[in-house]
Amino acid sequence: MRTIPVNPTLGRAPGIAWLCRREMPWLRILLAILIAYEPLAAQQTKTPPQPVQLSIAAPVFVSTSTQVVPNVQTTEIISPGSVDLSNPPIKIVPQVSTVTLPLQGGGTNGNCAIPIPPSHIIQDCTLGNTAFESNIVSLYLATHGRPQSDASTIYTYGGVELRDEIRSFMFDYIKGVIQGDPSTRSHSDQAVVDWLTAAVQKNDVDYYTALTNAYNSWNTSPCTYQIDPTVASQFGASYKGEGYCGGSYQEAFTPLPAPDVSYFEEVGQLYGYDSKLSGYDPGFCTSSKHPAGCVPNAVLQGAQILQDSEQFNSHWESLAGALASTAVSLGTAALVVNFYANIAPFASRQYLDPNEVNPKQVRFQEEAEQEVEQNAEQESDAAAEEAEADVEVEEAEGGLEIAEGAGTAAGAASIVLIFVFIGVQASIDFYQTLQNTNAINADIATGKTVATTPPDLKAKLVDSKGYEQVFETFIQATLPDAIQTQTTSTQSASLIALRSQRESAQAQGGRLQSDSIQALGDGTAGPLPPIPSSTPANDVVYIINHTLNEQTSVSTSFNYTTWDPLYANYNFGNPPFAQYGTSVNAYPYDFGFIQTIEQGPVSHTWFSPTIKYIDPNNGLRYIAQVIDHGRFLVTKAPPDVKPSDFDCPVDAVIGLTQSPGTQIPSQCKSFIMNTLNIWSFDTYNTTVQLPQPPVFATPNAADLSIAAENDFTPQLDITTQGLPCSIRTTGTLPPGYAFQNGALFLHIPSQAVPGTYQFNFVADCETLGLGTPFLNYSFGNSITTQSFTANVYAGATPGSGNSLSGSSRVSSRGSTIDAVSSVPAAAATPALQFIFPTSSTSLKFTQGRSTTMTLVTNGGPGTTITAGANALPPGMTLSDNGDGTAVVSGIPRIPAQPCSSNCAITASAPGFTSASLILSDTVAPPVLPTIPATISASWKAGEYNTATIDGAEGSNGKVTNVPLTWSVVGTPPDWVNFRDYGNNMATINGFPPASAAGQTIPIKFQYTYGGKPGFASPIFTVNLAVTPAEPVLRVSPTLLFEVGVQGSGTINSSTFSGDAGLGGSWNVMAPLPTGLTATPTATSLTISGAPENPGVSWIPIQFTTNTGTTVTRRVPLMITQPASLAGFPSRLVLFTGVPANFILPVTAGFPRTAAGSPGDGLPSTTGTNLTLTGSYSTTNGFQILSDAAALLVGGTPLAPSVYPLTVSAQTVLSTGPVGDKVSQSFTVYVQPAGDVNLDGKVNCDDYNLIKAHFGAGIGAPNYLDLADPNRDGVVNIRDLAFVQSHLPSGTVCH
Amino acid sequence: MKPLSGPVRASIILLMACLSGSLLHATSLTISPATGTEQVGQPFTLNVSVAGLNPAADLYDYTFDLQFDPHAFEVLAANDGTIFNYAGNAPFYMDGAIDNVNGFVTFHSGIDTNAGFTGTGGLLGSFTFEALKPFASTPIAVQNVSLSTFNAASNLLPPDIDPGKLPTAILTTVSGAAVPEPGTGVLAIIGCLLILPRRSRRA
Repeated sequence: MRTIPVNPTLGRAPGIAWLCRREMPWLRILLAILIAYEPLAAQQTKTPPQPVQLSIAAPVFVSTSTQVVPNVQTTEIISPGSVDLSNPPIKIVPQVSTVTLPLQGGGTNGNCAIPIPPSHIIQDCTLGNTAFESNIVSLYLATHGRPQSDASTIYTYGGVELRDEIRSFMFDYIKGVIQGDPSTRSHSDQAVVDWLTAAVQKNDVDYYTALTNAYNSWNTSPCTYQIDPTVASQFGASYKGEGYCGGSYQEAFTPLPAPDVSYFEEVGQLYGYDSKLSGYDPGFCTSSKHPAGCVPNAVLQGAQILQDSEQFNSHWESLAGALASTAVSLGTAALVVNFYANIAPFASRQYLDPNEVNPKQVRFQEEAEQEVEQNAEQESDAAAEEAEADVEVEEAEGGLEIAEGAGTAAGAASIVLIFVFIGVQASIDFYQTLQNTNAINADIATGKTVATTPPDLKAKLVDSKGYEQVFETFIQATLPDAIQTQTTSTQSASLIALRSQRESAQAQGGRLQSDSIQALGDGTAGPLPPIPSSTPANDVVYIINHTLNEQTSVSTSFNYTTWDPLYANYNFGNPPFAQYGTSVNAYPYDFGFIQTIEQGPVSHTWFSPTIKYIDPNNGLRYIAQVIDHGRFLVTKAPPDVKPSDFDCPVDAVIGLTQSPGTQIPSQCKSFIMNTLNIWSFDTYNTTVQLPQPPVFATPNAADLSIAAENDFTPQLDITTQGLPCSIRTTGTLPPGYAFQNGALFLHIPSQAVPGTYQFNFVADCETLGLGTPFLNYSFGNSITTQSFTANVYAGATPGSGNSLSGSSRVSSRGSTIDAVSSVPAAAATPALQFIFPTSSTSLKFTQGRSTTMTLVTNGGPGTTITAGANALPPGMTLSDNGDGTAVVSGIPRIPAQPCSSNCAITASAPGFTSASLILSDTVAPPVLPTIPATISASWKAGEYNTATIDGAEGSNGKVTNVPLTWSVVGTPPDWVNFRDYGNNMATINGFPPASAAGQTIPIKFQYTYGGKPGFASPIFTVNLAVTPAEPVLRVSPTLLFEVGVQGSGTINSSTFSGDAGLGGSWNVMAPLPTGLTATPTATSLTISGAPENPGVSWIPIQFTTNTGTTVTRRVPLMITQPASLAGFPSRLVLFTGVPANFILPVTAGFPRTAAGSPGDGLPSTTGTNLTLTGSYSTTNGFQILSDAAALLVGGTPLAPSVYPLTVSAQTVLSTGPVGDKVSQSFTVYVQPAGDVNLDGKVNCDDYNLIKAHFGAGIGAPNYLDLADPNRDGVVNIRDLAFVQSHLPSGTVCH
Repeated sequence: MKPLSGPVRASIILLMACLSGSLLHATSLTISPATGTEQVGQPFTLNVSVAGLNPAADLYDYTFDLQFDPHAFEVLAANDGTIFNYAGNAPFYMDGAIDNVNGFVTFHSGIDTNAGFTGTGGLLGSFTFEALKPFASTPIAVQNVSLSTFNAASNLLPPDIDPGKLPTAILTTVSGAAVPEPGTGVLAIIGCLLILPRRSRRA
């Protein structure tokens, strides 16, 4: 799929995105403050909302430039306002403590004099014993709308993934402090800078010491000099000193031509910095090189932590830009603003040196490696040219050589690759120059002063090499990282034990093992805290499956395909995008997700707020992080960020970048959404959302007038996303009033009585349970009740024009209402006048935008309102409601014209003096997108392609403020689809047929706005250049076999859309299961035969087209086997008072346990369905469970008994059963302990029964299951000892 | 306080090390002889013992196998251990099944019938071997060891005493002529004793 930006102005659009960039941090903060006062924050549910003050005294002007509702013609509503925007939200403010450095930390990381808990992130003995970590962790939590007390979640469940995020967060903070104005630093910030300065200085001393020693060593004996072996191995460098041997060379050159300064600096970097991280790498402490006091690190290599932490650079940058919509209060917590301000400069990280063509920044490993290769090639070329120019030097050289492409990143090597190769001239040049000598001398001179001259951290941060050193020093302070992964305690301990035994038994061919209770998971750092077994009931996921006709469902988790390089080994299914990787199940929990690898080579579970997902529509990689309830801050993965990308702003009204569920423009480097469009492992294109409890957007009180018959419509915060909601009332409504169709209105005026009344509005959000077992599933707080106060007046309401002093007000939610003695029962009739708008109300209309405004007078029924012919902007009309109000609506067509006659709106009523109003209005032209007349796009034949038309961004960076309707002009090919998303964006997509390859298809389109006739844009053209198709391998129908049964399946080469005809050759790159063979044709590969053994295999298949294009896929192949009970025991003997701990597996069958489809049409399965029928007493101390593949027997029987039961088994796939159902009787005996012969007594007969079968193993003629009470498959001394131990005291058997 | 001299300190440290070692109850099996030379055609006895048992977690039953090269040895007899032979007890010993074809003695076992054993070690079994052919460094290995307490035995629990590293005897079998007769050896020693003083004087 290809996505092209149609609107190039997005790339250079300044506007709000520009405000969010680093250059204007104060503007960003200003914008943040403006946006912060939005209803969104009402989503905070942990703290009750602030008391709401009802005020309709002053008209509220609502900007017309922000809200575009998808799929509907947007109508702007101008009214006195039912939403109190002056109500500041309650937000979490992190607690901070003063950071004071101890005089000295004492000890080394992991062995501090004042111990630091291993779970803490900062392990440096100085910084780790300050409040720095708790402060930053609190801030991190605050960005997620979480209290400080949630820090325990981080320390209990946070694996290396979450800790890397926080490492990055910490460093960004420190970096912001360093780059800020030193004079404004707090005591705490200065303390942190002091610490880092000292730490970097210490490393610098080591750096220059190593550099100087290396140079001195070379200078002493260049003839015999040996380069550092680590540098040599990492760079593939070699050194030949023969040229320096003898006197002629020294005489010819003064000073001696030395290796390039970059070599010596690399030695310094290695021993001054890199080794400080690699010293904690796994296995280092067991190597011969480890220093005394080495602390073994049980987690990732330091370099990997470094790299992983760096992935979040742009994330925090975007967080700083989007701080307005996070849960942190700006109005009350200037401290937090400062924090963010400090984080904000991190944006400059991406381009450290603007003078450089290529940004010097940390990037992913593969990029670094590519650059290594490129550099090496370039330098080789350069060396060759120089060799031609200066033969003399070449003859004398004893220089260094770098192997091309050397340097596979690992441990410290990857640090070198990431930083040094990119930031420093990595080649070690042959050509000896005076500049080189001067550079070396300068380094040595610097080394003499570094111990007494503190480093300038700010200067270091603007240099890639210096940045590396500062960052490595900080990461060094966070090692060793003692926590890696967690086990998942999904079952009780006994069940875990049983399952472990079952796995062991199966692995050993059925022989039962009862002595190994092994932990699940892959933790390697000793006992680890268990991750919660299930997500709280109120954390659910709302899923829309676009592949399955927009099917909706609710679940406790969702599945997504990650691009995380840590789990990139699993290549599954048809990969429309190369970066598709491993599948992950994510369960919402607390402020993040418990995530488990669903499919992949490594079993792993971790907790993190971060989802690294792939947009299925364009293959872009994103990092999504939960920032508060239901909303994600999403940033592009660094490799996918283009220079033209920008931070997409947050709509102040909806609190999101754009409407939920809409396609985000690919140019958005960051955005905030409450929906994630992800690709699940079963190739479903889905949108997931975390539903939130409903929040009322309307106040908890209203003034109602019997005379005016006004009504009140409660509304929910539109940012309350997720499940559909309805509103009802409870309690007693005011007399005469009713609540219907979502509105509280005067139903029977004659029954209305002035007064104050209190009742409840109840917002009830249903749950869609379609296709899930969660029908009517309640996510805990899906119902919100608002206590509501209705102040009913006979005449006009307070603030509506007459002076009704002493009117009642709601003091707080649910609080006591003031006495209603002042409520007027029969106030004097006021003079007729306009309440809203007035002549002083400045009204701003937008040309082409549908607008509705309600005129309100203090008149009641019988009042007539009319508009003069020129009173309204052209295109607007007035409709009198006859009750003292009127509606002005329409679409302004042209700017407001000067008015000389018939300019007034007049209100009149019998017995009253008429009132007139001349509107003070303007009609502004709309903000429209700027789109080039002609654009080009490259599409692939036979694939699904998409071109996005983005009209959300207008000229001058402003948001398009009228709803656009997009349409295609002319008749495009039938394989082209044009879709208007209704949010000012549209897409052109389609599957070009193979025959379209080589053609350029012009697609013409335009937009209109302003209703009918409305306004139309010029016609734009996208020229689609269609390129030839690439092969896709598809399985038809499936590679599903049964043991011993002849079968076949075919893999076809085709286009992405399924068109056949791609001829070529096939290569099966791994042995097929025994009994199967592969037969190729030009367009297909058939696998057939009668396989011998069951199982699921992943067969790598390679197809090369006739034009040389090669595609390789691992294709799943399943060989089933009917379930069998042959050899399954007919009885099981348990003993009273003796713990039972047995696993009885089905003896054959595949798949044995329930599993999902491996893909490619293969069925899912419920396993062998081993079941037990009949009954036994569940109060007799033991239990028999079935997990489809085995009976699990546990517990301690209490009383003798006999239970005749039946076991049965059948392998069942989602496509039907495999083989017949097999059954047999199965009797469970509970006998007195030691009574192995079932005679009810424990005596020498039992003893002799075992002796008679002593030594017999299962399968042997003399084997008897009764003589093997521990069921370990052999009759031995352990069975005899069991009986002996239960014989009556003094009994001796012979 | 007068500081302890170096030798005294070393002795105390050594004693503490020995005591601490015994307190750890590191169970170990031994095979005797562990090394040596056996003459073809001459029977010899090989004992398997246990030491380092924890008296607080008494041994109740045991079993083990012996594995040997049937080309080098044959087992003439497998005999009871003596570890549970204490007053008032009628121990049960199961002599292992001898398989001279494949080179095994299997299920050599014993039970402390009265469950009164409180020792820290003892003889688990005694085996009479005979070397068949000359071989250099031929192993006889203890395998499939199970050591259980009464609690484990009575509750059908897995063996709960760690036997530690399983021992292996390395024996060399030689033909009758290759083994020096005692008399010859004595003469050789006397000869050496006579020569050494003279060399010392020359030096």
